Amino acid sequence: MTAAPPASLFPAQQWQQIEQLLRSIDERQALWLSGYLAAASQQAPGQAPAPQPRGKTVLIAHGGETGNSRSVALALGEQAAKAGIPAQVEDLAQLRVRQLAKHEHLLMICSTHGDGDPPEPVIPFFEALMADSAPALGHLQFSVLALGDSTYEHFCLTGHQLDQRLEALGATRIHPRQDCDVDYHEPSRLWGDAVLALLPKGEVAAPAQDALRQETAGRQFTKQNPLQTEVLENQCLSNSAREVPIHHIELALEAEDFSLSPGDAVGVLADNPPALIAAVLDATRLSGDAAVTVEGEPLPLVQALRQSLDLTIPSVRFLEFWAELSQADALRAVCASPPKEQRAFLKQVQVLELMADYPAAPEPQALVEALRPLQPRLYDVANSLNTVGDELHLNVKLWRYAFRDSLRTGIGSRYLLALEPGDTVRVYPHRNTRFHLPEEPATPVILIAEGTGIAPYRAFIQELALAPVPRPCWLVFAEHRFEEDFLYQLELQQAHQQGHLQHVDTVFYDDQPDATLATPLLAHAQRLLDWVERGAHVYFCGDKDRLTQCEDVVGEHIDRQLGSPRWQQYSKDKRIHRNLY
Amino acid sequence: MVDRSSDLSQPIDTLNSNEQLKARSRFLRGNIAEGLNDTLTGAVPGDDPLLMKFHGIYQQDDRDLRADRLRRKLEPNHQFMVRMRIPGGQLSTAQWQGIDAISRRYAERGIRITTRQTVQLHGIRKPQLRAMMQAIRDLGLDTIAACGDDSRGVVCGSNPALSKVHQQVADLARETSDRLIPKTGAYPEIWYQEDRPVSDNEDPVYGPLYLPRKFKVGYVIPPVNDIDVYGQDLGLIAIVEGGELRGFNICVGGGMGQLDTRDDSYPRLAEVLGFINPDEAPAFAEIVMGIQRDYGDRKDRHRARFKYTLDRLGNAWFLEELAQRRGKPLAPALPFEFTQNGDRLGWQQGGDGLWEATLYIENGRVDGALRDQLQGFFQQYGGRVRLTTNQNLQLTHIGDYEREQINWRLDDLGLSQRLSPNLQAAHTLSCVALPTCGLAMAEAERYMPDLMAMFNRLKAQYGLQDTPITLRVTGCPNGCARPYLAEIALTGRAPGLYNLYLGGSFHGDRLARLYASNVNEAQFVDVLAQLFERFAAGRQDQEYFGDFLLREGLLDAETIAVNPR
Ligand code: SRM
Ligand SMILES: Cc1cc2nc3c(=O)[nH]c(=O)nc-3n(C[C@H](O)[C@H](O)[C@H](O)COP(=O)(O)OP(=O)(O)OC[C@H]3O[C@@H](n4cnc5c(N)ncnc54)[C@H](O)[C@@H]3O)c2cc1C
Ligand SMILES: Cc1cc2nc3c(=O)[nH]c(=O)nc-3n(C[C@H](O)[C@H](O)[C@H](O)COP(=O)(O)O)c2cc1C
Ligand code: SF4
Repeated sequence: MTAAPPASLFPAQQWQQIEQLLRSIDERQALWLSGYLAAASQQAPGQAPAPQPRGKTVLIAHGGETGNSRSVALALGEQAAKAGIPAQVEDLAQLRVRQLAKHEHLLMICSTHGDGDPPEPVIPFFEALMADSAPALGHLQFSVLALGDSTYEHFCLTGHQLDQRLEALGATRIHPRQDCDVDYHEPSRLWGDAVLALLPKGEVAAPAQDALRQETAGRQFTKQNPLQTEVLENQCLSNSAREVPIHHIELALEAEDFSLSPGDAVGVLADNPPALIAAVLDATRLSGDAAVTVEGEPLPLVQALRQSLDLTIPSVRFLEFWAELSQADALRAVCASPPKEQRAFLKQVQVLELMADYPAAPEPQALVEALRPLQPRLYDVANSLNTVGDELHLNVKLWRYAFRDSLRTGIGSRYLLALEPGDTVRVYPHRNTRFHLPEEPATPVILIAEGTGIAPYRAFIQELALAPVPRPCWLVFAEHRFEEDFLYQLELQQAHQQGHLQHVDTVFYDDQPDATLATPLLAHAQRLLDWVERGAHVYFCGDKDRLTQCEDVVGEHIDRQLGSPRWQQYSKDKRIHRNLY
Repeated sequence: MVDRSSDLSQPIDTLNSNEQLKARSRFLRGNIAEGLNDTLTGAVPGDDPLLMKFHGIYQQDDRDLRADRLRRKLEPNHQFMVRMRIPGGQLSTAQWQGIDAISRRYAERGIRITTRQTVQLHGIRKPQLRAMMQAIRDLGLDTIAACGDDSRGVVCGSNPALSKVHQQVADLARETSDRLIPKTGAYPEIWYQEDRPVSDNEDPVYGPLYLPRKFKVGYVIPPVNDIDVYGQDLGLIAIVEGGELRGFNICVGGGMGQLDTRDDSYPRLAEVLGFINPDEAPAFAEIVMGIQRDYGDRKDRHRARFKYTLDRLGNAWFLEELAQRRGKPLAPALPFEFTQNGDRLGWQQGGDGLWEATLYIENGRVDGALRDQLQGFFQQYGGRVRLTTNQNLQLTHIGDYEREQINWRLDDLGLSQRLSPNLQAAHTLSCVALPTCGLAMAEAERYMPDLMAMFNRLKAQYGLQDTPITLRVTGCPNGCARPYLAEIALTGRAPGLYNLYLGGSFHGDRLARLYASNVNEAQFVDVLAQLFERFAAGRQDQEYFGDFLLREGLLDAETIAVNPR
């Protein structure tokens, strides 16, 4: 049977009825029914467009890293087929820009990753499209669905860029771009309905369904289908007195098809802390036993609050929902303001504060549908599966941040640090191809990290020990105190003795108050130049601000020595790798 | 024909690895300077820690933290202990104040006065090491050869009554020390970063291999045997006639260290072999050291001390070799008498009319409140300072007129009870042991407060509170607190377990015997209780505990073997 549609589409019981019905009918009936439904949807409002010339299909192109864009695209393809619209679903990773010439209608669904970057697989297409050499697209009609996460600074940036570029190349926008936050199901469905209504019908081939079958075949671990792993060890590495502890966590990895290379991360499906769940139930005067459905799955409210829903970050949608429910003028006013201001407001308040400041009594199901889905947290894998094949090692720091007048603790990191051996965690692989070792085995690497940024490097270094060709490796690491915070010191010493690590330079802020992460790099300026000129790749991993500062200093230095814009060029040549958070 | 199969004369590659290390070290340089710049570790890599000992520096780690740090994937908590060279233990007040300041700035656990009357500072971290060594230099002090296979700090006992002789002997001790220390430029080069020409014969007396093992020289002035002259490789016993220093009886081959695992390893008393004139002493010490340098065992470090050389080759051989090198045989020894090996606490007046006051320092550890009290005291103090081989602190060169006022100040600062503590204190010693000593098997210094209280209760129980009994505790058999010269000694075997030694003499001229092995507190308290009972009953007038045990033949009893597991 097909994957369940978003809960927002059908209330649970209704969907169950439909499923029953569909199961009871045979091929012929199904075919007739799809035709009937398609015909029905033709009566939809809006001018009926001219019939599609033979062979020309609507191109539904998706690009992303964690499967959301793809699932939206496949669902849309299916919907188009049902509606009798010949459509073909393509991954932007495979698509060539000139193939756009073969189509007259383009529905582009693309997310944003990194720090406002295109999803890794999309980069070739994206660059080709942005290039001056890109073809004119006067013949093309398009609309863009941008997936993103409003807690990131550059919300849906890639979608915006694609949208503008297509227009700049002469294509016509038949429907305005739709930006989606992490609760993208509803808005993307609405966008889909709207654009399909604008598209001409024709003979329907059925590629979409095939793609769908591929989708449901091939069991691989994803956010929707995570691997249950057992916690083997959870060791605090930092001094017990430190208020933001750093832990080394080992998970059992029984699955074979859990594909990861050094530099990749895992997504962790964290639980919300019990205290927060209790507070939410309190504020809403709801019972944890209340039955709700999330993504078509019936479960008690308390479980939904624990595993499925984000209880810290309010979405625009929740804002509107709560404004409506509480009838609070203050909230209504915000809802009336432009999206930018809404997001600004939402950054200053968390779900619980909204509930407390503007009391209201929501329906369980309505609440569940209004809250934004709890997002997986990503953690770099700190071991190479070629060295330790049946374990996943993580290096996790407790996330603390000042919010309003109190110090808050991060959901995911708190969850991980509290785990005990024997507990189970839900994880899935997250490829981070931007952050792999260079293909060429002898290319030198300069690894720069602060704190937990060491994690992927630990995997790199384990990998280097196995490499047939020695690869020059220079590690620069920063933390607080030499004596207490030198993460994996013993292992690094060993790697150094065995010659897998040529140089290890450290900065310990508490011991050397004037030093920064860049200090050792400049202290060895000559070495830095030599390595870079020998084609070294430079990696930056860890705290976004600190490492960005460091890259600025290093970049300026290199430009001063070798002539600007040398650093930018390296970046273009993919010799600079960033993994910042 | 002497057996030379294991000494200097043999090809270097057949000798102990430490000998080869010394040979490679370019007169104790090694790669210490590079190691100091290695930021990947708080330690000094490779064999260099062995070489650093010759510079008075021990690499250690806080053993309390080892297991936890290993789990945290961190190296041990490396730190350094620095031992100064203070011949005769004499310091100016300014120097003591300087050491105090250094201990606060660079070290942990305060100032540690040692059983060889010098100062140890613990817990110094590598990045601060060089700065600290220069701070010590600026006090006119150094740490050269405070450890290592060389002549250790030369100790000198005290006898305030004979101030003039005392000063003479102290000066000879200093002269001897200056004469015997290594002359290599490695020290100023590494620690003061002076660059001087490196010659290929920087240490003419020692040569590139230095000594097979540590070599300890001590001067003592009867009747107080505070330095335990019988525990020294070379002891010089002042012979005084009519208030004049006539010369020295010399004794050789003392040593405490032993390995419980080897029975060809044992503590040994130095033997008195003859007499020499005063001025000859420093040169004489150099000759004796030279003999040990040439004939000492360089294959087996556990047999390398001078005491074993003598047992191997015999006194006859030694006296002959000595006569040759010295150009004449030894004169016969002269009579003398010792009465105690503990310090005389409290006030003593010297022949020159000047006073000195000995303050009791438990375990020689000057830290916390005590360090602050003394700091306060020394702010207004005109005399000098002397450290004793019983880990105590002496105020010396005090004029009659100052005495009363000093008493008041000691009173105000809560220090006066250190002039006359319970009399057991003056006869109790313990070594450093855990957490810094790498060789410790059991607690010693940290155990002392409890043990002392318990010991005093036990004595009181049998009415022995007014009878001093020498009690010494060490964390392992090495014997840093000279346990085998005490009436009662505990040497560590495992956490909470000790070997019990009994029967040394009150003035340290007789070795204690192993009485019970691997006993815990309950067990040795039980043993002592029984013996105290008999002592209280059968003691003859002022008889000492050790002498009593011997006279009663109680030491011949089969030693009680108790298995730790
Ligand atoms: C500080 C001191 C004990 C104290 O509480 O005061 C001491 C402390 C240590 N001694 Fe000692 N010894 C100290 C006097 C002695 C004495 C007593 C004496 O010399 O009068 C002895 C017995 C006499 C002798 O040499 O036989 C002594 C026999 C040893 C030995 C055994 C030597 C042997 O021949 O077997 C060792 C172990 C070794 O050298 O291998 C040792 C080794 C050590 C070391 C350095 C442990 C090590 O080698 O790593 C200890 C440092 C512990 C720490 O953390 O501070 N220490 N050591 C004394 C410092 C003296 C000084 O200022 O130079
Ligand atoms: C590719 C990648 C790899 C990573 N690897 C690692 C790793 O190896 N080890 C590691 O420890 N972490 C790693 N992280 C970071 C990790 O994913 C989490 O972001 C981090 O642990 C915080 O998550 P949390 O759930 O604990 O905090 P959250 O509960 O997510 O708290 C952070 C949230 O709080 C809010 N917030 C945060 N700061 C503020 C502020 N100043 N003001 C207002 N609101 C704020 C924001 O809404 C933010 O979403 C990685 C991140 C990425 C993207
Ligand atoms: C590492 C990482 C970085 C992200 N960076 C951004 C960003 O800069 N801006 C944004 O709007 N969304 C960002 N997102 C959110 C994703 O775009 C969002 O989760 C989207 O639904 C993913 O769709 P996909 O599975 O098709 O890639 C990021 C997500 C991840 C995992
Ligand atoms: S006796 Fe043993 S434990 Fe005590 S200081 Fe000496 S070596 Fe260390």
